[in-house]
Amino acid sequence: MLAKKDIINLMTKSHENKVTFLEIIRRCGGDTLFGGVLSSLDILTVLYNGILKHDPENPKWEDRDIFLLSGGHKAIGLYVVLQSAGYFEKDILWTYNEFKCRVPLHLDGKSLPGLEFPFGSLGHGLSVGSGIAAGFKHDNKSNRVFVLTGDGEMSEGSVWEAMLSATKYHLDNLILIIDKNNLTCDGYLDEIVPLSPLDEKARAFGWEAKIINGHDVSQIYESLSNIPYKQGKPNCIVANTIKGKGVNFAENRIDYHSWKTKSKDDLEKAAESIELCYREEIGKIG
Amino acid sequence: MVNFIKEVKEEWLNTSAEVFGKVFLELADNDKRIVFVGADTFRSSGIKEFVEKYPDRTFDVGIAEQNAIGFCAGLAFDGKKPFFSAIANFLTFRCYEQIRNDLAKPGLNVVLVSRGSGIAYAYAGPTHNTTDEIGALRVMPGITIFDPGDVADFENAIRKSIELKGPIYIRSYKALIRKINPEGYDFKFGKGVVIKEGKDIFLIASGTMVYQSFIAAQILETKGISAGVVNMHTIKPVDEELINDISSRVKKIVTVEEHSIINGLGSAVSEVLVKNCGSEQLAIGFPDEYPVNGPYEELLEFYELSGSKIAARVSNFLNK
Repeated sequence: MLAKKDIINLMTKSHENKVTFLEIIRRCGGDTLFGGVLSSLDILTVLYNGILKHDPENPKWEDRDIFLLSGGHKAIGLYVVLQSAGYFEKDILWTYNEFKCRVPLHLDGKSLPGLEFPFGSLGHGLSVGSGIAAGFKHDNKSNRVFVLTGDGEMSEGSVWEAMLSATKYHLDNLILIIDKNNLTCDGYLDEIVPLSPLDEKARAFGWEAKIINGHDVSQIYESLSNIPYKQGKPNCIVANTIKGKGVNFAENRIDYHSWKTKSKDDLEKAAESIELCYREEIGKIG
Repeated sequence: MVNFIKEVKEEWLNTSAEVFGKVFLELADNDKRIVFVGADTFRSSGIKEFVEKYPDRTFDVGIAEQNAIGFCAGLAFDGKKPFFSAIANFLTFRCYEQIRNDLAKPGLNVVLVSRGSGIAYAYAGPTHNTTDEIGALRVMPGITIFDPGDVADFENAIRKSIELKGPIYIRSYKALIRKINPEGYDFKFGKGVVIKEGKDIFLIASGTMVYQSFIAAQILETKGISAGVVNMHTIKPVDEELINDISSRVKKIVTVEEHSIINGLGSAVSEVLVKNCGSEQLAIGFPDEYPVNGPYEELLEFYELSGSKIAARVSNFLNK
């Protein structure tokens, strides 16, 4: 169990990351993926602050865990978290989407220390992750591979192909985290193509599965601290999240899948809402 | 004519899978990084001995080619040298995006060996025969495309493939021509081989068509036409130097391939020839690399695709 101060520490880190994310939008004023970044930022923050074996001083450290952001459109969230972990200078973030920048909309994989693999087209990460995890197993290495997908991405058939082979090769060093925010570009996923229950589907494919609240840092931490759930079985975490989490006018709204704003007012409102949400949640902890 | 056809048949070695299995095992014995990934393709790939000897270096992901390529990418990320073999159509089109995004873009050395390319699966129809996969792959930055003219080409390519930086697509059919390259020829990716010299015309061919072109050249000789034959085993990168050399020696060049005339060897050769022919063409578009990121207008400027940049390039081209 995490101590109260550790929980508050993680919540504060995640809050700071959200503030930085808004600052990128303010400075770059451009079009950015929005809702999905906020649904996954708590997960990303916990991963890089206590779960992943990694070393910002030595990004290619041989014993590190591998993190793959299969939903490469959420790259901006990963840049923020990597920067806050110390992989690179903050100024780089303010060049988001500029010509030849190192923080492009979709993951390049090589543009910055700490990035592992390029992603942008959905449904690729779990296959790549399975291959990496199988290689680690083959070499008797204890490194683990974490793959973050969205729930919409689970409509891609290639993900389920990868689910099958991960079971065959007993990849208990592979962890799939599904950021289940229920929304895709067009609307509610279960109205577009019903995918629930994802945990039962994962179990039917031979995985161990857990459902957590993907905004509760303590639940995220606990669920990622007991890997593998069962010897020889790949691990799936269905993280229930809210698209646009923390920005009250954007929560659960398809219009905020991406957000293009130059309005100072909008950005101030978003920042206030994020701040309020943070204070309320800290307040609940007491 | 009948005699020639008979001769060709006698020159065929009936299975490329056997050749692959033999060379692959030899290579794998000497390099522990080598692994094999299959998509229900172990039995058909000729690797029975390898599977028996190194069961822990084989990964069969089932009939799931997209996953197979991603899986290969992951293994290559770990420093392994994965080989993946399947029927040409499923090895390329089914998982085209995975080859592009997961192998070619990150520049991972994965060896893709097809079977049944061209019309080798003669009766199997258009779902299996592929006369277009080179065209699809050739536009992909970072990939090497190889079309072996005979057993030696095939063996050399397999042996040297793991030294490349990015992925390689090695074409194979059902049968291989036993021998068309000269004894002790110098094998290099991207370097064509002159099989026969000619004074009147040159046939530049790849794969199975090298031998057929050689037969054709012999027939032409009997009619007093001196026809040269080139084995252009590497279609990407193509041997520009050799093409330029030939075009300086003969007025007419023929390309021959067991592939569509669109975007295969024929197109690769014409892209070189056009630089020297009567009406010179300047091809404006993207270079053979993955585009950089940035605002659209800045990208247009950078790639010289804005009206002003196009005008400048046309002026330079005219004044050259």
